[in-house]
Amino acid sequence: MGSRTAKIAGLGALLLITIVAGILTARAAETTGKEALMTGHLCSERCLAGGRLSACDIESAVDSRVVLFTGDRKLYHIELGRAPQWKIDSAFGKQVVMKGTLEGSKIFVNDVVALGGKKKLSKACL
Amino acid sequence: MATVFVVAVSGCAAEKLSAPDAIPPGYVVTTEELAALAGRPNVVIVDARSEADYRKFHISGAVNIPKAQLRDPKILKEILEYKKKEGFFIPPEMAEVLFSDAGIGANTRVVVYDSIAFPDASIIWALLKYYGHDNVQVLKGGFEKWASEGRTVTGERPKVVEVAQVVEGGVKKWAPKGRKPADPTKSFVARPRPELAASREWILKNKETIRLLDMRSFEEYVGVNPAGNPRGGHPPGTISVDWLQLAGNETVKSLQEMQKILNEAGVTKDKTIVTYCNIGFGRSTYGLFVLKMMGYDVRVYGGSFEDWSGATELRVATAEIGSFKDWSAANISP
Repeated sequence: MGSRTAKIAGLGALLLITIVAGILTARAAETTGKEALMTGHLCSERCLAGGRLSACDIESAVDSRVVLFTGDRKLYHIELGRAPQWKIDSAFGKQVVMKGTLEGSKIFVNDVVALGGKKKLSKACL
Repeated sequence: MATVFVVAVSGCAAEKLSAPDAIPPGYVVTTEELAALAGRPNVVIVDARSEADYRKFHISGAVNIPKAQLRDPKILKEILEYKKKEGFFIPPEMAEVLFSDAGIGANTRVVVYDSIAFPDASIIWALLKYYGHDNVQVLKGGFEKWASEGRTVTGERPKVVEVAQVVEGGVKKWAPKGRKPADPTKSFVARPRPELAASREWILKNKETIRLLDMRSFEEYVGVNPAGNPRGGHPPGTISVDWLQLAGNETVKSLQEMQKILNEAGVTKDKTIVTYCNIGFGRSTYGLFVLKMMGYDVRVYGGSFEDWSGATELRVATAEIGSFKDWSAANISP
């Protein structure tokens, strides 16, 4: 009888673990692989901690991680997706809009552009 | 029981489409294949680059159809009116003269190439497809790949195909530039396929069943770079995929790579995809070319953002600080 109860309890635990794993997998799948568009301030963690958002130099990212600080005060760590490194460097220290895939607190950046300062391009470029 | 539940929960994850196993026929040829075709009867090679580039060097025997003529100020008003009405970028009478003068007929196999810097070949590909000519392919890797492999190029015996409007008997007609209207028995007969094009009116009418796809740069999409348009940005609900991300450096990336990019961006097959760029050919026709290849139901918006941004009654979305956007949440709205 005791052995049967233990078996049922074991199966129950296994079922619970499987269900939780399934839910976690599903949640992970929802937060990975889909592109999102985000805006915020691209800077280093060091600048953010020092409150130097508008005067953040790219040298500060040498030994500090690059982050996106969004308008709703969330922090995302920046990882390279398909965007080339130079695009991230040129937008550093500025208000940006970026698209990329989210994985937890990381954004894998596929493209980024600094906001403000309009460029000119002729329609001849189609 | 547990397994069933897990599968059911995991099924809520975003749609992931698989790429076709191989590029279907009718889209690209390799440099080896083109080398074997050169000089054969019923094969026309079209150089879609600028006239200046073509005159310097081109693949032997190629004729040049430069895109600049499609924006010639002398015919621009008429072209814009046609685009607004039909959703495609040149009228059939013009296409007939253009392709007949290039030596293209019903039994011609056309191979078109460009520079990998800009998808000009897709313009000719889309024009021919739209006007009912299926036997057309794009050279993978473009002129750069051909030349880098040491294959023959020449600057001799150029043939530049351009058309113009002339007035004959009080009637406007299309003719090869500098010549009289072509013989009435043209080799190319245009049979339009309206299912490949979209006008603004059509887009608004079908907004529940379509998804707009912006093939321009992210800067243009966001609105930082208005590119000469009255307003910068994009129609609300539009997905952005910069054509360069699909092209890489060989005209098209692998099907698997392109499918991954399209999946990430949320380009699904449950809706008709309508591609656009600034003026309706170039990057938008490249989108038509690639998405057709990938098995999507796709059209090109001939008026493109030039048309949308000029319609002041329609909204244009731009990036705003502090916003977070889920592509799939928004719909096109005037």
